[in-house]
Parts: sequence; C-alpha cells; structure tokens
Amino acid sequence: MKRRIRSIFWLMAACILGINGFQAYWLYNTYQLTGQQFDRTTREALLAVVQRQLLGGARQLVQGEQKGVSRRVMLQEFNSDAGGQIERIVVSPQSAPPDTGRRVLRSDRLIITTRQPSGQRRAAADTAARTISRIIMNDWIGSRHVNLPQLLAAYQAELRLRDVQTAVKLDTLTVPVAEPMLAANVPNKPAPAGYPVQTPPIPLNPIRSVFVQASFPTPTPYILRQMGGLLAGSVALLGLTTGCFALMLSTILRQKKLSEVKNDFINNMTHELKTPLATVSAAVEAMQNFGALNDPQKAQTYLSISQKELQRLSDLVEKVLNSAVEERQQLTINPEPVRPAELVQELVARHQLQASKPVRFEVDIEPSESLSLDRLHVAGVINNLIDNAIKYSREQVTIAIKGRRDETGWRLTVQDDGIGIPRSYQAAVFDRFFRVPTGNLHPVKGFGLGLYYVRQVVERHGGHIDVRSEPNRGSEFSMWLPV
Amino acid sequence: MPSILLIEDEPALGMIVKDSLEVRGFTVRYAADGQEGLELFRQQCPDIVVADVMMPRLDGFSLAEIIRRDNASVPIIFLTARSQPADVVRGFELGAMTTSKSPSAWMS
Repeated sequence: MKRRIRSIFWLMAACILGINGFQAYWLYNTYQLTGQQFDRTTREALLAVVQRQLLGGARQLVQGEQKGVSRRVMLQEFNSDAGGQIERIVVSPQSAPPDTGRRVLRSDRLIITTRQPSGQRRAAADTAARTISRIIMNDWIGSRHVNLPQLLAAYQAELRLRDVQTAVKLDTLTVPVAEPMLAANVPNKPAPAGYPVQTPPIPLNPIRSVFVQASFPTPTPYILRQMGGLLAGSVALLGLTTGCFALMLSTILRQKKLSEVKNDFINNMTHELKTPLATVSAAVEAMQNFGALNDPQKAQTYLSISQKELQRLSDLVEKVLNSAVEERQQLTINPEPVRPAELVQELVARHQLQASKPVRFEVDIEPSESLSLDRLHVAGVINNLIDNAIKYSREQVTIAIKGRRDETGWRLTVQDDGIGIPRSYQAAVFDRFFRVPTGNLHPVKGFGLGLYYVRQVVERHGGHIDVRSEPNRGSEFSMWLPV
Repeated sequence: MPSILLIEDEPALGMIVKDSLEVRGFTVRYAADGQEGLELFRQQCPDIVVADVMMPRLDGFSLAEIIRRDNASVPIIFLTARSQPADVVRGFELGAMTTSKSPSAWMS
C-alpha cells in the first residue's frame, strides 16, 4: 500500500513537472514570438511612416514645381504592372490629353484611366514619372533638414494604431554605403541608454545616406501585456491541476489512514472479543481432551479462569452496548457539591496501589474548592485520564494534575511524560472506538471508549476537553467545566 | 519429544495451552511477549514456535520474520483469533503451518 501510494505520488509529481515544463516551453516560445512581432511591428510602422513622409514631401514638391506652368500632377495613383500598363494617372484638368477618357472625381481634379496603353499615353506617363523623379532627386540632393519631431509624432500615432504603446526615441544617422536602399548594410547606431531595442535603419534620404532608426526600452511590458490572457490562463490551469493532484493525494492519504484505523479497530475488537472466548474454549478443551478433569485443583483453576474471562467478555459487550445506547440517549448528569481536590486524592491513592509500574503524582488543586458536578461521572473522567497516562507510558511515569478556577469555570489538566500521541491522530482520540493504530503490536489493551466517555461527560457538563501532545514527550489533557 | 516455545501475552490462555502441551509430553518454554520470545528462541533453539500475533513490544508476524532470517526450517504456528484472509495469507507467507486460537485445532 505504501509503495503504491509512493508510486502514485511520484507519477503525479512527474506529471505536474511535465505539464509545467510543457507550459513553460510553450510560454517561452510565445514570448519569443511576441518579441519578434514587436520588432516587426515597430519596423513596419517606421517604414510606413517614412514612406508616407516621403510621399507627402514629394507631393508638395510636385505641386509646387507644377504651379509655375499651371499644371497639377497628383501622385496618389500611379501604378504600372509588368506589361507596362498605366492604369490611372491623375493630372490637372487643363493638362489632360485630348484623346483620353475623362472622369471628374472632385471639382479640381481629373482622373485619367486607360485600359490599353497607347504610344501617346505611355509617353505621357513616362514624362510624368521622369519629371517627378527628377524633382524628388533634386530635393534629396539639396535637402539637409529632417523634421524629426514631426516624424516622431507620426510614428507614435502609427504605433498606437498598431496597438504598440511604449516609449520610443527616433534618431537619424548618416552612413555612406554602397547601396543606400538596402538598410541591412547599414550598421546600427549605438543604442541610447535604457533603449536597447532598435529597428533597422530605414532610408530617409538615400542620396545623402540619411537613415532614421527607432529605439525602444526592453519590450517586456508590451510582451507581458500581449500575453496577459495566456499567462493568467496557464497559471490558473497549472494551479488547478496541482490543486487537483494535491486534493487527490490528500484524499488517498486520508483514506489510507481511515483504512488503518478501521483495520486496527477490527483487529483490536477481534482480539478483545475472541481472546476470552479462546481462553474459555482452551480451558474446556483442556478439561475434555487433555485430562485436566483428573486434576481437581487444575480443573478448579480452569473454571475460575473461564469465569473471569466470561466476565471480561460480558464487561466488554456491556461497554460497547452502553456506548451505543449513550449515543442515542444523552448521559444523565446529577450535579452535587464536590471538592475536586478530595476526589482526585482518592483516585490517586487507588492508582498508586494498583499501578503495575512506578508512578509519581504531582497534585496541585485548591483543597477548599467546591464545585457542582456529577461525582460519579467526573470521577470516571479523571480515572480514565490517569489510567491512560499510566497505560501509555514507558517504564515509569510522572503525572501532574492541576486544578485552577478562572473567570467563568474550572480547569483541570492531567499531564504525563509518556509516549505521546502523533499530531495527525490527536483530533480523533475522543472519537468512539478510536485507538491510535499500532499495526500488529498490541502494547495496551483497550477498546477506544475511554476518551469518548470523557468527552461525553465533559460536554454534558457544558464544558470542553482538548489535548496537547508530542510523541515521546508526553500528553496534556485539559478539561474545562463551567461554574 | 520436541520442545515448544510458546509466546502468548494473555497469561491465562498461555497457562492453559502450556499445560495442555505438557500433558502431551512436549517440553514448553513460555514467553509473555514477542521480544521475550525472540530472546528465548535464540537461547533455546526450540523445535516448534507457537506464537500469538498481537502482542506488546514485538508482534508475532515481525517475530516470525526475524526467526525466518535466522532459521528457515523451524515450524511456526500462529496462535491467533484473527481470521481475516489477509492475516491468514500473511501467516502462511511467513511459513506458518496453521493459524488458530484453538489448541486442539492446530495440535491435530
């Protein structure tokens, strides 16, 4: 049984560790992926903002350039596919070629849409594209100023749109490289203090090799925010699983303990009930089959033993029956004036005469104290407590009995230096038929009724009893009765 | 006649069983608990051991385990009222010949 429970425990522990391991691995992977997602989002956001910025700048440039010749070129829609098809060109109304289809979008703009390119249309498109490129290149060559605060504001807005809320720093760097459009070739600028995570440099002005780079603090808060639900779910699941396992294990252990108590009870009752029967049976057999009847003295001894054993059996049956009856019918208490000091002194004297081992009593009770108690039952209670202190001790025992009055009642403690009671069984010692399991060892005879009776009597007086004990150090039973 | 070591913590039962065995000619040594029984076993080397199971200090099953380590062949009879299958099986596992509280039952 023990080995099986140990196996279950180790299997459970392995299971929990495995689940924890997998969860940790999974969460770590998710953490890494979320970190990569952060890098990608910040990079894409910067790229988008820079492109918008460049596009906006180019649009202003082209608009400004064309104003002199009273032409307006809008660059919102300028695409060409692999076949060189020009799908849409947006130009001012005055400059529209005469043979193109026209559609008025807004009052001041025209969109020219062609499905099939013709030589004239292609020439018009190429001219427009070359003009625009020249204007932008000229601007890039001449431009020195970068409006960083404006770019930063746009970048922060873009990050918010993409649900990335974190501090950010933008910085430009000028690095002459062979192919400025390939940002991968550009070495990073040293990260600012407290901003260790950086996007790759994004080309802002490829002609002058000006790049912009964003720096962020460690993205852990962002990642944890993103993984909040996952983390909470995982922790809850792990807690639930571990809790279930712990509950299961504690139930198994409790069941095991109950099973031990039950087996011990059955064994004890079997032993206590069958031993007198076996003794009488052996005596009768001895007289019948082993010639004991031929020896009158021996026969008399056997008969005497039989009588004693039958009486013992009768007492046991009576005790069990009484306890069953007492459970249904409350004990009747007949209070009368009692001096506890005298009562205890009588019991101590009796036990000193009967004890089978050296017993030292230390009694400390106010002699003049008088209480209203049921003399018979309270004597039974104190007798049981002294009896237990002697029975559950080693070769000799010291028993200290103290009686003290407090504000509302009277407290009696019976303390011994005996074998003690394991903590896990202390709460059960007042239960009916309970005995601390000892397996096949049978050091002390009894039925588990003594302390049950003690509790019944104390509770019928309106009091309570509890025990403090430490194995191999001794026990202290403390009884409180209201006055 | 073979010598018997009788180990029983109930003095009355122990006395009756001891007398009954002696009437049949056995030499009987009596011990009142398992520990005393083990000491006597080591001193006397009896031919048969008759032991109770539930005893103070050292129970019958534990005593039998120790005896079996020293002496694999000595017959052991458990003198017990316990008749649950698990107890009977445990008794036989330890090489007991029989388990019964009745002297005539195991003597036969």
